Amino acid sequence: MEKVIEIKNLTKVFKNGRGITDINLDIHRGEIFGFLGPNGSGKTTTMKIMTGLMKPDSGDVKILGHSVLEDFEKAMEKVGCIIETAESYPYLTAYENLKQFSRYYKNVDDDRINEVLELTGIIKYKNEKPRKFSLGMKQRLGIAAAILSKPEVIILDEPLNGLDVEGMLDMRNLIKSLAERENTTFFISSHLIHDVELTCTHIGILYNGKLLNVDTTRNILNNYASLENYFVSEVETNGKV
Amino acid sequence: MGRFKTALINEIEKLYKRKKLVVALIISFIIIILGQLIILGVNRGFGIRGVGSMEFPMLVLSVVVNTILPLFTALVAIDSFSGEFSNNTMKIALTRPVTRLKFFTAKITAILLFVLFNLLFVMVLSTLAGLIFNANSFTLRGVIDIIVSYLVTLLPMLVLTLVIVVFTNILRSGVGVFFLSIFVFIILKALGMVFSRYSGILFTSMLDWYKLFTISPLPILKIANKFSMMVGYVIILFTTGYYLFDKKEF
Amino acid sequence: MKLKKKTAMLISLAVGVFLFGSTALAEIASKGGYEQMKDALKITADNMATKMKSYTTDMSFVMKDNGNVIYSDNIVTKIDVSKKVEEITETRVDGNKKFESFRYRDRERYINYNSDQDVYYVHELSGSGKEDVFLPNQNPFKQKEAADIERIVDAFVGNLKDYVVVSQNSDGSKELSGTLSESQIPALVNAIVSFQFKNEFGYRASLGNGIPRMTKDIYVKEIKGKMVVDKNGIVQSVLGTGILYGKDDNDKEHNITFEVLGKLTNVNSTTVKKPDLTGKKVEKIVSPSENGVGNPESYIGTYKNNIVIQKDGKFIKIGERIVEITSFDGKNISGKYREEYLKGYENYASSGIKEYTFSGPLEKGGFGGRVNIQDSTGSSGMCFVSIHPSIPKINLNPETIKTNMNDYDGEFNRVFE
Repeated sequence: MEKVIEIKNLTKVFKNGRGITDINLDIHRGEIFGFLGPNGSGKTTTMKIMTGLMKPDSGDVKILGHSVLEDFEKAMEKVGCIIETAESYPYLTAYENLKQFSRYYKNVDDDRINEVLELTGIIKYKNEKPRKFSLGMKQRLGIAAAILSKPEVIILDEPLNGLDVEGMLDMRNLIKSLAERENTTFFISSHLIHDVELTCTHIGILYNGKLLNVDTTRNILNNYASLENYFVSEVETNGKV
Repeated sequence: MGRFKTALINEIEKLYKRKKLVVALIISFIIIILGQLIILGVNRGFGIRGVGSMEFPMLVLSVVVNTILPLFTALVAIDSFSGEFSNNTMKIALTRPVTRLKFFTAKITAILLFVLFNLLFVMVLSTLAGLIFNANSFTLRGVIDIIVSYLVTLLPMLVLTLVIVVFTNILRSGVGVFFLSIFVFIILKALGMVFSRYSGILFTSMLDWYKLFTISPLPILKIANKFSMMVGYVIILFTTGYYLFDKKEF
Repeated sequence: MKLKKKTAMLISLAVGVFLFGSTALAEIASKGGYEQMKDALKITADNMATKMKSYTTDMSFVMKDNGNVIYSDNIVTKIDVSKKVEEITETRVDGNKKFESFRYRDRERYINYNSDQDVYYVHELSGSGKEDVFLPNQNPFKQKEAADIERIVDAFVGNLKDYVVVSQNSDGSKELSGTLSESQIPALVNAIVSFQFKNEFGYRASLGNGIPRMTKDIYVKEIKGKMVVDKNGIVQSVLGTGILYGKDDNDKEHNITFEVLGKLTNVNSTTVKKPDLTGKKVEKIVSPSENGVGNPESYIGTYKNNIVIQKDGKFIKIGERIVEITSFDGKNISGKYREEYLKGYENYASSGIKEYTFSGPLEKGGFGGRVNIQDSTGSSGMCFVSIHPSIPKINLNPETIKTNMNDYDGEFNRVFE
């Protein structure tokens, strides 16, 4: 299987001692990787390094074979992402926001913008400015922006933030269908164990800045009653040294 | 180059949509009209000509270049950097496939285009006002002087922009940057007056360098010296600004 | 790759610093035309004050209206510092009127002449006055405030200093020149000059000379300056030209040209000769100013003024105050004061004293002083006496003894019998 994301010896320690140490991870095409960990375990830090928002102390991330540190443009060319919070320019309409992003890609036209607005269910608000949007709507717009260019890799940090039940279901279906139809690779972080269990094909557990274990969801559920049990046992055996 | 162009187009769209340009143009317009009214008043009231049609745009430039132009440039630069830092919107573009260098350059180019547009607007409007109200000394040489003077003002404004951009990458608060910029501007202006011998090397004294271009014979050596000094400023400030911007984590 | 980026940044920073540093140094090190002009003025002023033994300056001012001379003024000053001799000749043409004046000064005398009176006034000097009259040149740049003023001027001149162009000649001399036309002249300067001109010459009905009365569209059209400096850095000539444009009430256009030309010539080779006054109308003046009052004896005599009251809306003379100077030798003065009332007004006499004597010394070299006074009853006080240096007039103002008259007049005129 083709490696889509390669994380090697990634370390980033902040002044307060938090951060991530020596993370190694390979993600292959078509996987929906769930990055599971409690708050402050280093999920967002990892994802920020993956998307160039932060520089690691050491190590490297390669996306589709290109190093994020050295060849940022090529690495990010086929990546869509939401990091931490879905942001949009409040003085531009939803359409204009997406138009801004679309200019970076060759294959995105107005039809595609309308399509993603439709997919995320905010086509009604196309010409409204996100200033008035609820958190959920902003999140939908963020997801629309992330999938806009039909990226091969989508990195989502807590994608269900602020979404209602219906939104969560929509989102899960969207992710699954993209993975199936377009063979899109997902890297999703979440602290919602149940949701990860339902959505992801592979699961890695991050605890105190260390990646404890990576396995497929199927394997985990074969050995444990639920993902929650797995998580607890992993943390107990590896984390609390 | 394609991605730089995209980033630039995006920055221009954002700048345009934030309405700062419109505000700047309206205020420029008001200042020109007010200036013209004052001059008409002086003419009618005191019998002094005030300015001729060719002098009016130069007079406006000399006022604008030391007041509203730096002010608006500061506001736009602060908006473009500090504003996006604090709104957390900087990462929107940073996670797109464009390097920080291109993005940084695009932002500065957009600010520069804003300055250029503002300058051209003031130039055209003040020339028209000058022609309508004080029609008596229209010469080709005058027109060339005006165009050259307005265009070369772009360079010191670039230096000013970069100074402010460096500030935005050091200080967190946009308001802080604004006051720091004004403070530095005034201090340097004052220093330039006290130590006039050394004022030539302060960038605040370069805002008026367009006047060199109206001297005949053209002081080429002096212009070349000022030009390379400003280029030196630009390189230093751009590198510093980019270094700080590139180091930033979001 | 990462290293390359850092290196690139360092290189670009180095290039920037180099570019800025070298040009900034050049900017500071090189003296622009304006700085050279200031230096020339300073060197010249210093030389004139300390080193030059003699020199001639020639200053002229010409005003033209559309090319016709309407006013001109020329002042030639010859100074021999070592001999302390000076000669100033002025020729002024104002419209059709011509005016000439001449002034000569050495350690013994000074001579004044002007064409209006056509008389040579010769002031012979004596005593200590001889040395004081001739003041050496002061170097204006050595004054206390000079540095501050220079700074203010620099700030005011601002970017205009770039307009000073230097052209170096092969013999080591150089020419500093500058031209400001229309738009280059700061608008504020233009407005102030125009307004000032209009205020001076725009309203007056008649000036007696040819300056046109401009009332409309006044502006400064051009300002030019040229300074020639010799190889020693001494200013040889300064020429300033200004053109003011405007229209008069009849919409006639005027270009008024102002030209100021200053020249410094014959350094160390100027000789000043005492003018030959034979056959000229000469009037000798014994100058009193140096040594107190000249001919003090001539002041001995009687002086009077009237005692006047106001009654029924009229001034009425009710008597006289009489001062008699009994002795005066230039230093000590003594005399008597008394009041005489006309018939019917005796009761107006002051309840204070009507009579007293005074005597005392005047201030050294001066024309007045506080002297003692004493009346017939023996009470005494002080009184200020002063003598007019050239007219027979004195002032007498008692300080301590009341005269009881609100309208006391201390000015007395000589009575000639």
